[in-house]
Amino acid sequence: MSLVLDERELAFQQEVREFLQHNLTEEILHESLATSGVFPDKELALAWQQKLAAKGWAAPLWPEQYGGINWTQKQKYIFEVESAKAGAPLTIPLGLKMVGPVIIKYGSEQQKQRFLPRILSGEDYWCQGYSEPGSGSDLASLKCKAELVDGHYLVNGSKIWTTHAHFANWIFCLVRTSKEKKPQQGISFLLIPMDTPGISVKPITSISGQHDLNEVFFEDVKVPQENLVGEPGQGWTYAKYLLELERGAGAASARLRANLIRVTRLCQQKSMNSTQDSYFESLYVNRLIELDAAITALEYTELRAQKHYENGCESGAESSLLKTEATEIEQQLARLAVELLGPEAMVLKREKLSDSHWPIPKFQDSYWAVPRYLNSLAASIYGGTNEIQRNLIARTILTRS
Amino acid sequence: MFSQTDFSNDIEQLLVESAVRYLSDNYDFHNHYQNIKSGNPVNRDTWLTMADLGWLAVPCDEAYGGLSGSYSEMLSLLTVQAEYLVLEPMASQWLTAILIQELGDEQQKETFLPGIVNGSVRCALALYDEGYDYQTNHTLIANHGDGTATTKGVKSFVTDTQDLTHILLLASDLARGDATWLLLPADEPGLSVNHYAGADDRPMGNVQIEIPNLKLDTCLLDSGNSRECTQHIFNLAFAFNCADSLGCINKLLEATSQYLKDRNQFGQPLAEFQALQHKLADMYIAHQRATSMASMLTESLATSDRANHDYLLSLAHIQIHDAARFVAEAAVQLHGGIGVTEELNVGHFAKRLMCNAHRYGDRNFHLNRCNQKFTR
Repeated sequence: MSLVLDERELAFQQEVREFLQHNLTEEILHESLATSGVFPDKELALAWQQKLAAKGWAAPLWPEQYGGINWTQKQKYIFEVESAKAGAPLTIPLGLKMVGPVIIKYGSEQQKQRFLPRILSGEDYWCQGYSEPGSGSDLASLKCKAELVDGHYLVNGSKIWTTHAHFANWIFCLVRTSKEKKPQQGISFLLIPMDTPGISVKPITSISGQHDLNEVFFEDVKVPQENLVGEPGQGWTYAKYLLELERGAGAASARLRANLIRVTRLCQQKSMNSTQDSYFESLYVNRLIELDAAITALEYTELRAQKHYENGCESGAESSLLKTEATEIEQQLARLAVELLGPEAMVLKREKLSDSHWPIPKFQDSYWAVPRYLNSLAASIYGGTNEIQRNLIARTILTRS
Repeated sequence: MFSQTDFSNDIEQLLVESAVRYLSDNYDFHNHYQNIKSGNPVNRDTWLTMADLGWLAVPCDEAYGGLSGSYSEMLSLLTVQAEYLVLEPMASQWLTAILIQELGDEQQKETFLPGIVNGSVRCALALYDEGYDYQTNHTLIANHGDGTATTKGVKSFVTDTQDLTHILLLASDLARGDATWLLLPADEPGLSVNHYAGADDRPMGNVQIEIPNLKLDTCLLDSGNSRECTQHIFNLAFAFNCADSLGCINKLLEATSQYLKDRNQFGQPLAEFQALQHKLADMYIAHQRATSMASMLTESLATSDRANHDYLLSLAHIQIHDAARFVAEAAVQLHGGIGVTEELNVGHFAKRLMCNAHRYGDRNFHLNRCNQKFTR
């Protein structure tokens, strides 16, 4: 795969651009540019998902028979790049890119019929129950227990860092259904309605001041046996499949490049305001170029990874590599943006700073940079810390024959 | 290992030890968190206790009830209070006192210094004009020649603005072409403050000034070498800020090494993992760099010529805040998920360091100031 587009691909690119032009209203664009969290707000993401669904483009990772699209890897890539360039919001991956593909690959026909259409339409909003207070990097040590009692699972325990649990009506959970020799064995993948009695959600506020994360508690929660995905005790395999999707999903370089453009713009604005503008620019231009080089390398790593997957190779160290690179570049960009802000970097909640003398539109780059930086600190922690990713990479290199 | 603290004399040691005692008994993270959430982060009772303990008196002359303390004492105390995330504005109070002592006339000293010592005078320094750097002033004062003047401007990102009784305004005197300090009552007609919170929850504000007929006799601080004093006050502000950052770095290193010992994953403490040990070691190395820079600036303020301060203080700012960013990010990373939550003190130290890196001049401003030494 290369970045050179043939005639058909150019036509597709044109189609994507036209779609974005017609559907990315100013309101959606501004909300999207104001997004500083890991995920966009629920309303924004669902509004955008509806527009994509109307065009049949909401689930590029799914096969056509379930409402997906038969795009080539290249088309998926073009779509991601154009969306990022235009500043389109991300969709919430929890249903479309996470539990959806797991149900498609490992779920029963009945589960597919039941859940997939509701993910696509946005009727169901999912969250992910993986980490526990005592089980972070060591996920396999998880203790949340599901016992089979009279045809039901009885779930007890808790989950943490559950993004958007306060919006979700479903949670997909890793639960321990039996005690085996290896901690990875005896874990199952269970789908639980959030309105089941015995579930409670406690908010966690991030250092950015935003509420995206939660703790979820389960106390004698009764879950029908049919909500188990695949085989009991195979949950770890499914989880790994999903984690690899999470790590290597899509075209992170395209989003990073869009961020680079924002940071470059911030640099230009700041240097215009600076009393030593040429000096100011000379301080930062080289750093912007260095980041461009890193993003370009990542872009081609992503293309090479896709070719690798297309050839039917297993995803292993590649997804760890992509996750590490993407998150660390993201942090460098965020750091640079904060540095460029000058004294504005002392203010997190800009809406209070803004007044009639000093109106600042919410989508402005300076508004976005500080919360973006603080949220970016989580990027090397979630989805498997970058230390864990480096362990996986090293193990792959050292066990290679 | 180097010992944690290195006191210049017994008085300093007593001061610091009593501060540690008071703060560890009365200023835990839980209290801090409640103060932030109350919307009035600066606690009035704590402020008055700090006055009772003599902290506010440190820089003031004994003649006005002060302690005539050294810069070394002030820097040590500032480092300690930052270790407890203290929000009460000791540094601003001290800068005000020093400025009045250097530039005020006898009557101004008698009027204000005792109030600074007992905490009843509370003053913020309005230094920064939006869009300029810290040494370019766009707030103007036009002297009418009859003892009154017109003053007009907007000061942004003024720190420590809660419960103000006064504002110290840095303005440019059109006639003299020089910096001028005005000590204005906070309720002076024509003066308004738009309050907001800093990312580290310290109170901030933007100050609007539009005063057509300001009586200069009481508010103008003009009894010394204004230019040299302004330069000195800025350098002290940079030094105080560096001392505050050092306190945050100290605490982040301590909290992180404790967490690595306490938290178990894969059946053993995190402290057993070499990748994490190395990161902790890098934090220590950065912490030592910052500590050494703090020693350097303490010594420079005590001994060297004021003319050398610009360069040295900016070096300290750059080095300490580079170390600060590394330590803050590493501390969050080594704490994992809990490190990015508001419930833990780590994120609060990280945000305070982020603010300090941009308080009184950012990296770019300080590089530029150093640069001038070579291009002049």
